[in-house]
Amino acid sequence: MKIGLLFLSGFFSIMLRDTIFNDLSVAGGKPDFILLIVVFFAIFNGSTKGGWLGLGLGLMEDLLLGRFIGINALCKGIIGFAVGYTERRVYKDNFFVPILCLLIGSLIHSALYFIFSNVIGSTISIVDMASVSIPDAVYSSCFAPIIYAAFHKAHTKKEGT
Amino acid sequence: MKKKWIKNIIVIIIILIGLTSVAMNTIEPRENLTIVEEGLRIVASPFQYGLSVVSNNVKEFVSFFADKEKLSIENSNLRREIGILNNQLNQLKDASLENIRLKEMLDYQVEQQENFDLQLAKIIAKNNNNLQYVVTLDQGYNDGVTTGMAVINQFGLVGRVTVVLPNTCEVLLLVDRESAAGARVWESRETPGVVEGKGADSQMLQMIHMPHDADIYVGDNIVTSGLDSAFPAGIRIGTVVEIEYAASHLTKIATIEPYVNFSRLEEVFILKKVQEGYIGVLSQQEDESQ
Repeated sequence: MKIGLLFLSGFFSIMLRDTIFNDLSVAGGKPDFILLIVVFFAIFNGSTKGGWLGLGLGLMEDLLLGRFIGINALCKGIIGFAVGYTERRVYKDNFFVPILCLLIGSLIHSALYFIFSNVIGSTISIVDMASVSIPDAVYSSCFAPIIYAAFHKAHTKKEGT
Repeated sequence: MKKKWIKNIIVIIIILIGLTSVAMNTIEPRENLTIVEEGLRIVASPFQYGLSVVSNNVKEFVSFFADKEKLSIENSNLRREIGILNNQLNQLKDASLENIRLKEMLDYQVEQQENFDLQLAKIIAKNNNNLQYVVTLDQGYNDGVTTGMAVINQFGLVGRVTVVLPNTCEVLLLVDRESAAGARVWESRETPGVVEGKGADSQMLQMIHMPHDADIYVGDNIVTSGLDSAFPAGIRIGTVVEIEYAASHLTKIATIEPYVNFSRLEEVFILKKVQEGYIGVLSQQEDESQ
């Protein structure tokens, strides 16, 4: 999968989340499409590539948001790196496994975000974080089958050639 | 292999330290953005604008259904409220009209207390159809009502009591074909006849049994004659609107428009007793008016 396409998708994902999904939030949660891309990319491409993509897309997200630059890069880099370890260990044709990976990854991402933001001096409370992170994780999981199918198709095509 | 691991760890540590320090320096909002941030935002802004238009449309689309449901509930609540308020308004109008009617009747009762003993009664049922005109009053023999009593209101003769029950009574209205009252022309004090309902679904009366040369004209007032002993003399009945000869040309028939509006009766008086000296008073009144 071309890296440019991934960044373009990431870019539009952020746009979508900050516009359309602002009005379609459920219980205060919005889908984190960047995390979806990072997790599924890492499942098919391993730790190193997953980590770097997470770092890159997270940094783009930070630069667009303009505050706490680096925090999303760190969190998504770590998630990409960690999820990449499952590359050779999960059965990729089973759609349930990536969704579970995403759900767990999303919650760990929120935990990392909470830890790092408190380390750098922010004052996000654990209650606030939990109230957003759980709906975020569930909402993101709803889009997982569609996005995972796209990754699966691209990966199958690549292996075929 | 070991070298690669060390290299990786060093890279990770550098990234970790680098990003953490950047993050720490960007906690507070900054006045100036970096070239990269500025560039990204310049690229993002048209997309954000376009997507926000789409977002607003989506929001409007979603809120249309939400508002529709809300408006529908509000509409039904308001309709219910209007219904209740209309009912209250109608009740108030009814009460106001009843108040006016009762005041008029009270005035009449006070005015006539030297002549008649009047008992106010409310109509509780109207058994009217095109063939008979009977109403039920809320007064019965427990209230001193007896069969044959005259029923009047402030405008004139209404009918007479035909059936009496403990707490109610039935009144045959004058407009009924079976009803009849001895009458005369008030202006001439003579010209006796009988007033009865004109029949069918007419609200008019007719005066019959008048000689062909009877002294009666359109516009004359008709009152009870008292000759039939059913009604006391001098109670107003109506005005002559048309005079014609009977088929035999031996008698005259006058069409009378009653003073009482039989279709809008609500309260009436039962004439329980005629006071002594009434006839004298009546004659005196008629003499004065002549």
